[in-house]
Amino acid sequence: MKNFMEPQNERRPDVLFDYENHTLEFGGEAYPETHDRFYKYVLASLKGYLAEGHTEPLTFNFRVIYFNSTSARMMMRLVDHVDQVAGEGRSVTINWYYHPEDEIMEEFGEDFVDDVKHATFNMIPETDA
Amino acid sequence: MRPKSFYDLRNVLQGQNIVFCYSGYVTEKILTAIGETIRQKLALEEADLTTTKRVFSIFVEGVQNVIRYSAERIPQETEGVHELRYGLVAIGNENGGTFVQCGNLILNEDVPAMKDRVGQLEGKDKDELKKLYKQKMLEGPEVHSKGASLGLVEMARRAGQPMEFAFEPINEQHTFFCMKATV
Repeated sequence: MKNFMEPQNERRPDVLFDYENHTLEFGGEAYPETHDRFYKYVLASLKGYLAEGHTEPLTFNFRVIYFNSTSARMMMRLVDHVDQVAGEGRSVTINWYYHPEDEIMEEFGEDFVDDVKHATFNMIPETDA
Repeated sequence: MRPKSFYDLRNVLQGQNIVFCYSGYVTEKILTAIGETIRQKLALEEADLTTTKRVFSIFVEGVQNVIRYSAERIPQETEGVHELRYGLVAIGNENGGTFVQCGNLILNEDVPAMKDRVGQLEGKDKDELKKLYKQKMLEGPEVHSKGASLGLVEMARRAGQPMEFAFEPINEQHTFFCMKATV
């Protein structure tokens, strides 16, 4: 699967899926204008990669500053998909980075913790997040 | 030109503690521009990070609600990417807090569904809103929803006090739907 690299663009988040190194990054601000189309590409790409059945450990880093409710649903689907492969035996680590003073992003991280059943989910306060 | 009545309009807004008001066709570009202005203003007032994010988040969900659901739109006949939807967005200061208020026309036939939706928020505390949010997230978008239908719950979660909603009957076809969230 070709890497999926869409750097932050106005209201679109950083989506840097480095499949060669099995490291996924999702960050910045996420409230895209044409969310349907953009997120469709993101999801299709991730699903394609996961379907290839790699066994190397997978890391998914979230460094989100702001996202709207539409993006929240999308992020949840991304997390669901990697959690599913974790359930099938692959080692998956999800890192949720947030600014220590950012209560909202901390709270959202906690929302996700409850839904992750198989992957390792780390909440990581980071001053530069 | 009627400068006096234009000036009066400004005073009417100020009388309601509104510091910023937009009335007209709302687009995603306008959301971006006003959003930037709000953040700049809050930065000048040295608001803390969480307050700024709460206001911004409520603003985005509120405006996207207008863009997606206002019944006052052109062209009237068809829905599409190039359509324009009419609404009002106001930001103001009250009792030491910041409020975001949005209003738009909805069809009378859509009033019951909207009342149901806002009724779900009533009397819910922080944890109950969180539960409702997660429930909506798992359920998937409602029929006819163009977004995640999570927007209202997200707004209620970010507001520091209960949100206010109003349904003002206008004519046989339309009702003015108005909401206000205060941080």
